[in-house]
Order: sequence, then C-alpha cells, then structure tokens
Amino acid sequence: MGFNPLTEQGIPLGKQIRNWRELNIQPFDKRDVHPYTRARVIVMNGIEVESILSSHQFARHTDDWEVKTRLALMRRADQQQQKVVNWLLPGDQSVLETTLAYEQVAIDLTAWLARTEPDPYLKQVLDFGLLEDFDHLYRYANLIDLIEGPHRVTEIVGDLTEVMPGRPTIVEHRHPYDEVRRHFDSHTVDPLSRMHAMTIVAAEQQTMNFYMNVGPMYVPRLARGLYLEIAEIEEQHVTQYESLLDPLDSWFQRELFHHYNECYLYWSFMQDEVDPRIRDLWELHLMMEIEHVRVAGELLKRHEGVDPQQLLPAEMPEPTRFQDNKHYIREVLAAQIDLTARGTEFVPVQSLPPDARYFKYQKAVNEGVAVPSEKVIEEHVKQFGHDFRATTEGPHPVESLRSRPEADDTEE
Amino acid sequence: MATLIVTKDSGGAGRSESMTVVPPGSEVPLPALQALGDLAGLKGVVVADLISAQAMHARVSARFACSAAEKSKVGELRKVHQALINIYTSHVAALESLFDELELPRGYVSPGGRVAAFLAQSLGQAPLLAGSVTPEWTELTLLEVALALAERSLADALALAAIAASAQTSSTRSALDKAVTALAAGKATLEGLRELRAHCLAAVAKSKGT
Ligand SMILES: [Fe+2]
Ligand SMILES: [Fe+2]
Ligand SMILES: [Fe+2]
Ligand SMILES: [Fe+2]
Repeated sequence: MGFNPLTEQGIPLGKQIRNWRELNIQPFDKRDVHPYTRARVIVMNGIEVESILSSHQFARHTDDWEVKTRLALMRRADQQQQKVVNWLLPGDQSVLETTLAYEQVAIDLTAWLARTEPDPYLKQVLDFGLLEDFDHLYRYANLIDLIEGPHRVTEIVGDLTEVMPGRPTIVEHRHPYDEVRRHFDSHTVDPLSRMHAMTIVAAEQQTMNFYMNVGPMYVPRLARGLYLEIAEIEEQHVTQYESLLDPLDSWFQRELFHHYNECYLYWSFMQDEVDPRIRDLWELHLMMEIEHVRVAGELLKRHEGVDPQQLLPAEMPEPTRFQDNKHYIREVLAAQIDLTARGTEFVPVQSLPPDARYFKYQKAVNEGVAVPSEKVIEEHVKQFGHDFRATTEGPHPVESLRSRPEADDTEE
Repeated sequence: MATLIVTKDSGGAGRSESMTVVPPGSEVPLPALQALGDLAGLKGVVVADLISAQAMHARVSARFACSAAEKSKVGELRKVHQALINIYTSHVAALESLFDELELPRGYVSPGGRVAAFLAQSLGQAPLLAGSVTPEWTELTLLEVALALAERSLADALALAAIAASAQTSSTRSALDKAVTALAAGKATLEGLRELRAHCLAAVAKSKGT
C-alpha cells in the first residue's frame, strides 16, 4: 500500500511553532552541496511561498473567525518552514549563482514533470517551457562568466545539466494573448497532473518574483538588462502555467490541494535526499504537512460537506525526482526548437502569417535596440573568443545552434 | 450509490471545450452523445449537458446540505438540512441511473455541468461572510442558500419534464420519464423552504433583544 497522508499521524498544529534558534538553520556549504539538494531546497521554497500566498488570498475572501484563524495558524507554520528551507542557502552564494541554480531547477524539474506527465496537452506545455528555461541558463552562464569570472557555472550546476542554447530568448517574447493556455478539468484530471501543474506554477512564480526583485541589484547595464528581459519571460511562464489550473476549484479545495502538494513533494524529496541533515528536515516538514492536510480536510468537510478522502487519491503517485535529463532535453530540442504559441496551441513559427501579433510584439520589444540576451553572448565572444557552453553529450542537436566562435550563434 | 464528488478515480468523464483539457481516455465521444438524442428526435449533446448540469447541481446541493446540517444549531432547521441531504442524494442517484440507461458514464461532467457546479458552489460560499452577521443571521444564511439551491432544483425537474414530454417514443423517452418521476421525490420539502424562511424571518423580527 502506498503513502496516504490522510491515514498518517502528523505533528499537532500547536506543536509546530519553532524558536529563532531552530529557524536560523546552518546553511549548506555551496562548495560541496549536491546540485540537486540545492535544487530541492529552491523548489520547496517556491512551494511554501505559493502555499502561503494562496492562504493569504483565501483569508482576504472570508471573515469567518474559525476559518481565518485556522488559516493564520497553518500559514504561520508554513512561513516558518519557508524560513528554514530558504535559510539553507548560504550568504556567500552570489545572486547570479543562485540564479543559475534557479534555472537548473526550472530545467530539470520541468523535464521530469514533462517526462512523467500523463496528459498529452499538459506535457506539450511543459516541453514548450522547458526549452525556454534551458536557454536562460545559457544566457546567465555567459553573464556570470563575464561578471564573476570563470568556473562558477560548473561549481553550481555540476555536470548534471548541459549548458547550451535552447529556444533563443530573443524569440521567446510573445504577445500576452499567446501565453494563455487551456486548463485541466477537476473531474477528470489525473492527480499527478494536478500536482505537476501546481508545482510548476509555484516554481516559475518564485523565479519571476526573484528576478523582479534582484534584477536591479547589479551595476553593469548588461546584467540589469538581462535580468529584466528574462524576468519578462518568467511572467510569460507564470501566465502559461497558471492557465492550467481549473478555476472551478473552491477556496477550501485549493487550500487542501496546496498542503497535499507540499506533503507530496517533501515525501518525494525525502526519498532521494543525499544530505542526512536535510533529509531529516524534509521528514520533519512532511510530518507537519500531514497535519495541514488533516486540518484543511476538516475545514473542507465542515464548510463544503466534502470528504477529503473522496477528493484526494487513495495513495500518492510516483515521487517527483531530480535526475539527469540530458537525453530527454536533447530530443525535445531537436523536435520542438521552432515552436511558438498561437493562442492556446503550439505551432512552428514558420507557419505564422506575416501579420501575426507575434511579429508585432517582437518588433515592439526587439527592433532597433541591443537585446540583452544576445548582447551577453556577443560580449562573451568579444572577451574570450567564444561563448560559454558546457556539453557532455556531443554537438548541439540543432545544427544552427552549434558554436561559431566569431558570431552570435543564436540568430533566427 | 450516488457519487457526490466526481474525480478521475470515481469515474469522471467529460467533453473538452475551447479552454478545457479532458484526458483522451476520459473524453465522451460526440457520436455517443448524439446517439442518445437521435432516437427521441432531440439534440443528444444538449440533453446530456442538461442532465449533467442537474446532476452537478444536486451533488453540490447535497454537499452543502451536509455542511449546513453540521453547522446548524437549531434542531428544527438541522432536520430540514438533513432531509435535504437525502433528497439531493436520491436525485443524484436518479440522474446517474438515467446516464446508465442512456449508456453514458455516470460521472459525465459536461461543459454545462461545470458551470452548474460553479453556480451552486458560489451560492455555498455565502457563509464565508459569517463574521459580518450575528449567529442568528448565520443560521438564516444557511437557509437562504438552501432555498436558492432548492429553487434551481425545482426548476431543473420542471425542465427535464418538459424535455421528456417533447421527446418521441423511444428508449430515451422512457428513461427520461423514469427520471422525472424519481426527481419528484422531496418536492414538498423543497417547496416548503419558502414558507420556512418566511416563518424564520418573522420569528427573528419579533424576537427580543437588539
Ligand atoms: Fe508547508
Ligand atoms: Fe527561466
Ligand atoms: Fe521559466
Ligand atoms: Fe502546509
């Protein structure tokens, strides 16, 4: 029998509050942490932040004392979890280093979700986003090389994720109408698909928020420009992924699903965690989340007459894992590099009519100006004679994106 | 057995529209929907949509009645909410049997069914403002929502009867007729909610205190 939080005993809510010493946790050492441990930390931070913000939104839609106070208590526990999780990041990890880690998360998380996604449309949406975040890693890798010096990229991403162009960032800028997607239907959705959608929304949203806030912390104009350009794509990604969620779900249902997803991911990450201290933390938070699921289920039962057992699957689906996805990504690169979006669907860019809004938007942002995501490669070529790449599996699967030392190799 | 929560695991099925995605295995094919109407001279897709909408309304109403029965502190009203649970559950069962007879999945939630669920769920959100009213008024709110849900339910029964009456003699027609009879269950209780509300409001208006 698989894992079902509804049949487990968690830590009572009243016993979940920790003191300042417990919260101010010893950060990991950026030199010897496993890149996927860092990735799990970043994902869980995004998951907690999303859960907290959703709870705040819920709280703004009710003045029922019992509901508001239960939400406030659970939210405080989630806030404390967020502090402990995010405070694992060390202070000597630079903003750009953290940025590389964020994009590595975006790549290897999205690739795993796409590989295991049961619904063909949702899988296509994930594959589409994957190639874009894959390109962001390449652009930031070139930036960090210019700003903070060599070797930083491999120190952060290891040899688990290749660094080379994806769908070039310059062509990712689409009209907002072309970021809206169709959504799953709560009555037919596979429980795994629901969690995939919630997880990717949380991850992309925290990346969007991160760039929105840290982008102006660098002095060089090129760095500021690259952050704002990619932050705009993260806005597109949040628009895309949040479209996948069924708006029919009620506040109480959403509250339950949020804690259930927290449970699912702590449970998933516990199984693969190589750092024993952090593994214990995932387990502790899982025990807390089991109680959050129970309390959110109780609220759902009392206020909507819905038995959580009937809404949630009998057992958790297969765990979400961080694994090397190099071959999968290369396949998607080879097959989908030319895709763009038209409304809710994906089409080859060559199939768009010349008057498509895509081209109008491209013109509005790119025409006649230096585009930071291109400029960063030009600067790297100028300074080092070539762009920065880290490949382990041979030449780029897309011929036009192979290295040409003297030129910007990302022109369309 | 009536299913009050439709999920993939409980046999949910659907039909995608422009903004929705239904997994290929859970999609009810259009020809199956059309076929049920052909025999009776009706538009099958529309009939299935209406049945699904009525089933979803009954499901959400049954769930709301469970919540109201648990929250109500007035014995007499609690009994009414409890009776409503049974009435709506029997309606869900009747509509699911109708789907059985029409050879459609019991858990078919059509595009119209989604909207009906949203409408009923939205009514059920009214108690989220419990902090703005007295406990007495909170009790009335539960009754207000129950009344609004009942009105729709009565109108649903009327609509289904009209559709059945317009159908040509066929297996679809007899299945519809059977459902119409089953949906008459609890009619008096549903209709009585108007009176009950008037009676409760009058009592509150007369009571002592502020
Ligand atoms: Fe949490
Ligand atoms: Fe990105
Ligand atoms: Fe992204
Ligand atoms: Fe939680």
